[in-house]
Amino acid sequence: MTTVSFTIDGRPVTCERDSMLLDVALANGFDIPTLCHHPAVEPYGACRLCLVEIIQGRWSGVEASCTYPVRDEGMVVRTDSEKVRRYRRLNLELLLGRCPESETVKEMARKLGIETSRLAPVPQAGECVLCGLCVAVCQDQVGAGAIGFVGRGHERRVDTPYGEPSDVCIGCGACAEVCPTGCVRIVDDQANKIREIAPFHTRHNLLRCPECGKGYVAEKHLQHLARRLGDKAGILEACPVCRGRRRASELLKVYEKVLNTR
Amino acid sequence: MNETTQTFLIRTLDDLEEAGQAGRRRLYPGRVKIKVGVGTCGIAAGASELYRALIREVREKGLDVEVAATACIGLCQREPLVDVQVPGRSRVLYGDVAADQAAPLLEAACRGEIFGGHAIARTDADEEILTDTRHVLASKAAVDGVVPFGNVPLFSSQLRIAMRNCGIIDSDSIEEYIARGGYLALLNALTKYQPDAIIQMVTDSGLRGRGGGGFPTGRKWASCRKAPGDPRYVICNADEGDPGAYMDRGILEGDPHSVLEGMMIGAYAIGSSEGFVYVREEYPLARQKLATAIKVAEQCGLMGDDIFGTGFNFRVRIARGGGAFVCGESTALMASVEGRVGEPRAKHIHTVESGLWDKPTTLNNVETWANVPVIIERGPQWFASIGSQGSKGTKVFSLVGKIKNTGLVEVPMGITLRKIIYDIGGGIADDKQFKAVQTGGPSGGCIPAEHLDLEVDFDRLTEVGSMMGSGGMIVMDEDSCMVDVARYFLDFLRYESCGKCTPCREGNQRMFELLDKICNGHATEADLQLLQDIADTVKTTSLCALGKSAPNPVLSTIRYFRNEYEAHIRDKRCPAGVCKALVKYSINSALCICCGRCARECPVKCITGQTGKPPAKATKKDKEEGKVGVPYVIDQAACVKCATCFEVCPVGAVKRT
Repeated sequence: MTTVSFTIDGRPVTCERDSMLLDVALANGFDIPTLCHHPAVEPYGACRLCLVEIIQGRWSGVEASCTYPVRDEGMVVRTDSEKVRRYRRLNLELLLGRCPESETVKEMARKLGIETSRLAPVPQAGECVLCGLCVAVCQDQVGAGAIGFVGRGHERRVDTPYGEPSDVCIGCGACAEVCPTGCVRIVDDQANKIREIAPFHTRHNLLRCPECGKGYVAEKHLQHLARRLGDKAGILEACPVCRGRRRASELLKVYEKVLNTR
Repeated sequence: MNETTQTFLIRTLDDLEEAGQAGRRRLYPGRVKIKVGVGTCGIAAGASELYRALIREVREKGLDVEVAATACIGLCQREPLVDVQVPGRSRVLYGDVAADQAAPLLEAACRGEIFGGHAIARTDADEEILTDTRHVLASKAAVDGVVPFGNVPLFSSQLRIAMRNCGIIDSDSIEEYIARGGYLALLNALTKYQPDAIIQMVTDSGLRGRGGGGFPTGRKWASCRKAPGDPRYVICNADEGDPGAYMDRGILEGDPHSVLEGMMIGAYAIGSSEGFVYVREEYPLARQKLATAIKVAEQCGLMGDDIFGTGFNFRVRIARGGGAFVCGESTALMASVEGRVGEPRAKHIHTVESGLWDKPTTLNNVETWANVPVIIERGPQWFASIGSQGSKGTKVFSLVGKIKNTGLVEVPMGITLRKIIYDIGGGIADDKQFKAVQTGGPSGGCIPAEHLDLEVDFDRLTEVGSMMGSGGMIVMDEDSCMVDVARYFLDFLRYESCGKCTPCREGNQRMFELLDKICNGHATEADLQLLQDIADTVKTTSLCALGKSAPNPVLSTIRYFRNEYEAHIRDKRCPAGVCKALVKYSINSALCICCGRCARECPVKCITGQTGKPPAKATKKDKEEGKVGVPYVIDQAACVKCATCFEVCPVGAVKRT
């Protein structure tokens, strides 16, 4: 393993060569804002908030740290320089102009001292910052590829092909799980046993837990997991809460047995 | 019409020479030969009709004349262009030849006379740059009343390396390409030089990438050769998307083999045996020419396995672009070839290490590849002797806009803008005042008159806030509003950004909105500051070169034409009279001669009055006879500010304020 030693905000740091700078900084406790970074997916470099200033000899530049591989021994990284703050603020202002209602974006902006964006809100952008996490997790981790980017430039959005309900979506909800602003949501209709992945207009049969009767998993999701788990699929037969309760009572029996034999 | 193409199997130098001789017989057939420029620009001007009319005429009259198709020589302004070559005489280039002139043109040619009024220049000998020889056409140079090419500034200031065969050969004919020295460089590269020696030659030549970045080609090849991985790829980037730029189209339509030969030499140098040419969907003819060239090269054994018996294998495939400007960016292009969405990725790990399918990949632009065979044949020192300090060789520019000679020109690096615009371009159309030239495509900068003596190369253009880009050159005259120009390019870019990263996606849209606000006269000083802040951020923090250069039109126009921005913002006035919201047309009733022309031409019929004698000049008799007109008035609420009345008024009574 080749290691590289350098400094972040004056503090010496050592990491494996070709580690991404943002991962190294976060692991070392530095606070760098980001919207499109998630440990489950490949770095994407879309939000441009994790900017840092890199000084390497006579060269210096502002780079997105999430896609910057650490290779240069002795480089100097500044996570909070005047330059970094200026560009980070403007990119956040652009996102705030896009998503003025998003609590996530507003909170990040407040931290950088921005109360309002100088830009008019974009109609219909909603709270999506186009970080791409939902697309990446659906494609690379789930393997479904139910959603993707549609359109170019400022007309870009995330959607299913042709905006139709997806037939490859398994209703797992990973997209909602990774969404930083909460604009992708799972909406469960317990009365009608329907799980909807909003805003991708895809509906699934919601299966009831045989123990508590509550809808807890999309039918296709359960089938998908069963295929992957093979003969261990039996553990999925109840909702997570009931599974936990069942496990607890089994453990209790074990403890009682142990105690009784003393 | 050309004779049926003979099929050659080319394995040795002798085979190559034999094919070359066949090519020479086609180029100089010993009878009258007429070549029509049937490139995209020629076709648009009616060259296909002319070509067919010539063939029909020859057949009907049983003339001993050969009619051939070639591509564009570069003087697109005068299309359709025709070359008439009579054995033993100079070849004459004619311009603006219409299909119905086929018969008189042929008559003149057969009589050995000049076709009056259309002659542009004559060629006494063809220069063959690859072999450094001349093919003399006429021992006695004179052709009555037609100037030689060397005396026309449009041509004499040019040096054609990349475009060496454009408009001269039939690009479907591999023999004609070979006749002018083609594929000799490949043979020599494969048989005389080790790959490292080839890379050294390209490095020593000083060749830099013609696609926009200007990265040293030799260094790129060297890094790629060193990178571990197999297979390895070469790619030709022909996704030329800049508005008003068509250098690569010109080369692909006019001389596709030069690009293929360059790619093969590059592939040999980096150790690759597979290549792709990424051609944009909007270039059907270029794609067709390229496909033919690939097929013919394969038939001749110049592409495929064991080329020239050296054990070197190479195959190339055409990948079609889907119309996205961003796919001209190398990582987006590679994603597109792989079948993924055309989006760039961060390039800290270079594509020479991890490119197409994560394998070492060398990507160069069409023009870069076309230069390679010449470097091998003429040597790196020769190539490096042309051009400026940091930029060697020539560059093809597409000279468009308010210029007299629109077209493709190839000039040595380091030539001044003035020379390109005034000598080669012939100056500003309608003899108006030069205002600015925008170089480098939509994300280039606008260069004002004060820099007309700038020596054009990669570094100088960057210094003045613009860039070489791939070679677009849009000339603007006094009637252009620079704020409107910046808005135009940002309107293009906001739709062509892929939308992946925040600054480019949101920033380009916001810059467009702010420029629109300025053009409409609603902007404040704070808006101008915000515009500059956004431009700075987009330039610094965008993921790829599209975003990093997108603010150039804004920044360069603010830098050189700040007064125009201020006039729009402070005085609510557009100095060039372009921005409709800030312009008002009115008719001076004292000057109006009541001719009614403005009202007749007005597309929205918002001008009223009555024809007749102008009241000021009317006599008593006119009044009695009811012949007095009523001066015309424009209804401001209905006026769409198209400026038609302003242009048609014979006495200048329409005012623009």
